[in-house]
Amino acid sequence: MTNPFAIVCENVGSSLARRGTLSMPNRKTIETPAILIYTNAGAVPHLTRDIVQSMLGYENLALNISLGHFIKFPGTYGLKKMEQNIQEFAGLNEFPTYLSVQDSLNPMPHHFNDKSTVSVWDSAGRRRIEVQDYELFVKQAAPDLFECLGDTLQSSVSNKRADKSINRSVQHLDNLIGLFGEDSNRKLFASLEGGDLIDKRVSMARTVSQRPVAGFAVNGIREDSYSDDVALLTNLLKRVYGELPVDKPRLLHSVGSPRMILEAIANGTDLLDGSYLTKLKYKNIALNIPFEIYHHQEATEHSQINSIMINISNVEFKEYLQPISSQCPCYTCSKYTCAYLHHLLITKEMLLPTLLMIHNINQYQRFFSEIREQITKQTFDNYKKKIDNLCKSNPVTI
Amino acid sequence: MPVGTQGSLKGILPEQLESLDCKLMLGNTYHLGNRPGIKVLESVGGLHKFMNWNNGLLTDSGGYQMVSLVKMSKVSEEGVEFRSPHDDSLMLLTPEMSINIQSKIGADVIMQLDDVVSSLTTGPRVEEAMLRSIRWLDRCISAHKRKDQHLFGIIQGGLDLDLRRKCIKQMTQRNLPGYAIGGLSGGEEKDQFWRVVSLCTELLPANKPRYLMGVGYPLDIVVATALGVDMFDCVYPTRIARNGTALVPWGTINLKRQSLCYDKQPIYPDCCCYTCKHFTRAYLYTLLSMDEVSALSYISIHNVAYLLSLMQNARTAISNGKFPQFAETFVKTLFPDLDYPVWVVNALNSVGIIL
Repeated sequence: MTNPFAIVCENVGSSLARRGTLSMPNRKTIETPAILIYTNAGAVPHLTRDIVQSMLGYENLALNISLGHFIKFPGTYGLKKMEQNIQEFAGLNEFPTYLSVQDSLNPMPHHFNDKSTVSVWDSAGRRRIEVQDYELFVKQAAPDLFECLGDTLQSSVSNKRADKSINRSVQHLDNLIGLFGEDSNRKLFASLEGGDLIDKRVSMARTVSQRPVAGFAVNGIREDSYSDDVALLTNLLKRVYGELPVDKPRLLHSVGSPRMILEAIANGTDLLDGSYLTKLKYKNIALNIPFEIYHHQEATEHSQINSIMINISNVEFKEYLQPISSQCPCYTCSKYTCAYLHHLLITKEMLLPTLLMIHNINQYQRFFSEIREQITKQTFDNYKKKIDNLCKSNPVTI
Repeated sequence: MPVGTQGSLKGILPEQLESLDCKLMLGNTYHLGNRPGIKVLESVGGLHKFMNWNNGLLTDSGGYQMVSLVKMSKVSEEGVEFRSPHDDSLMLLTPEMSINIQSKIGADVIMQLDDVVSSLTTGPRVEEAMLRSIRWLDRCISAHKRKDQHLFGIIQGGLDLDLRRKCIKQMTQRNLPGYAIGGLSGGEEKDQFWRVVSLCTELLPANKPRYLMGVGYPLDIVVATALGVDMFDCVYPTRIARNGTALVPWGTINLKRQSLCYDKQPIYPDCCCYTCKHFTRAYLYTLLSMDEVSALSYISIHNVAYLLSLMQNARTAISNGKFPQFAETFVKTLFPDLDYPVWVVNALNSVGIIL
């Protein structure tokens, strides 16, 4: 048995941030903290695979795929019939893949779950998944890592419902461990539930902490509930992670703004899902993170440009002939002006979301790389403070 | 030529289009003049830079919008008056303005402003439009200052062969670098369509490019190539792609068809495009079932690659003296039951290709 995760370096300051590596057979090692790029049916939304390869780079790129996107078509039956695993089917060959049960952008309300099944949205509607269905799919699809079925709570519930959720989720976990045996240790992420009831979350984490799994995934966190009071998230993560073995990776779903990411990482989160970047696209927002490696930039007369997030729909951009960030080396910024992006928005052209996704994913790849570097240099705490202040002075709600 | 009306080809990045060996794409003067407007295009240094496209550009003059936006336009000797669909303001597009806007857009080939009527129009309006197009051509020539841009005239005259003759006679006297055949592809009978094309290619100078505007389907393109047309443009390949439809030699396949959900073949096994080299019909089906937009890009890439390679094959066949065989094989593959449309048989017959 080999633990796929190794801690390279821990922050010595006040935060619990840590730097690690996640290795999977026949894949490039992923350095953590890392973001798992959100995909729709294995595709980074709006980006064809050649763009992903040439414009996002292979560096530390891992994909988050969702069960519901594949369970109807091709489904286990189709994959078997075509004699393909999910990597071959979706042409993902070189990218590490993490299979989650729920689509972070469109999770299933928990009242559809019952004792033995978890519901997901497939391309036609709701589908009940039993542990055995999931086992067969995972064995045929062969993702590098996969998440356990969980009765994930999507809104506030009673103590009784939370207990039920935890009992079911632990049962699913034990069933899957029984079905996957040794593989659980290398590939299976336990799903941590409990909704917003912190004591329930702690109790679930304690229950499953010694199970033979590869890692832990915190589900059912809604970023909005914590954005007003970040301390609540800190407290929750501290207590939940406190129950978990230190040498296993922790994934946090559905938390994605720069400020919350730093908070999550400061408490020992290793992986985050990238659904937030897809949400930004819907709002026509381009990130403008002031990276350390950039030279100091003079404030421009465009107030928008000085913000950490830029809304392309702003009329200020109609004639603004500069890129989103003149120092951003991404394809979008090296080839296009804000005026062009604004024009694409006004004319409703398909390329705007493409160009925004390229830019925003590049920003986050760089952001995470900078975070890892700060952890190594033991300067993470200061870095976090700096970005925190920036986010506070330019509050953006999406 | 793929069509990027508003300064962007739907679903394909310029670099992707370049890698398909696309040398020329189309933009539209009327739409670009509206948005982003001349001021932006001028200050950025032209459309090539604005949209990051280094190969050739051709801009249509805006004349066609008289037909496509007919409810919002009014034509007079001075020019066309459009009511903006965006802010309801009035915009007068004169031949001089069209050339001026096109000089700011900076395309490599620019088109005259013509008076376009639907090909279904009959009566004196057709002749009036044809004669006005000649007068407007002269105004365009006088306004045309940027000699690095090739100005093409546009032959009008509807489906009336005599009017087409008159127009060609007048316009060819202006000795332009190229001529377009306009006013077709508007729902006319195919039998009339090919006869007009045939007449025009017969009368237009052999040493100047002939551009058949707004055509079209692969079959129309191959037949018109046989008749002597050199250039085509159409939104067809990218438009049907956005509906999930892909071009193949035997016609089209719709990738939303459930029978393809486990189909391990690429769209077209002999195709060398990126999509066909990497993805199966089954995967494209899954992407479409999840409303994933990149599926439309994959199909657009295939469709544009398909048409570009169709034209490459036509050019190779012409160079090797084998165009008749090429055309015959193409038509036979499209109609395996040999039920050829009459107009195709007649059109190809007229140039000695016997099906």
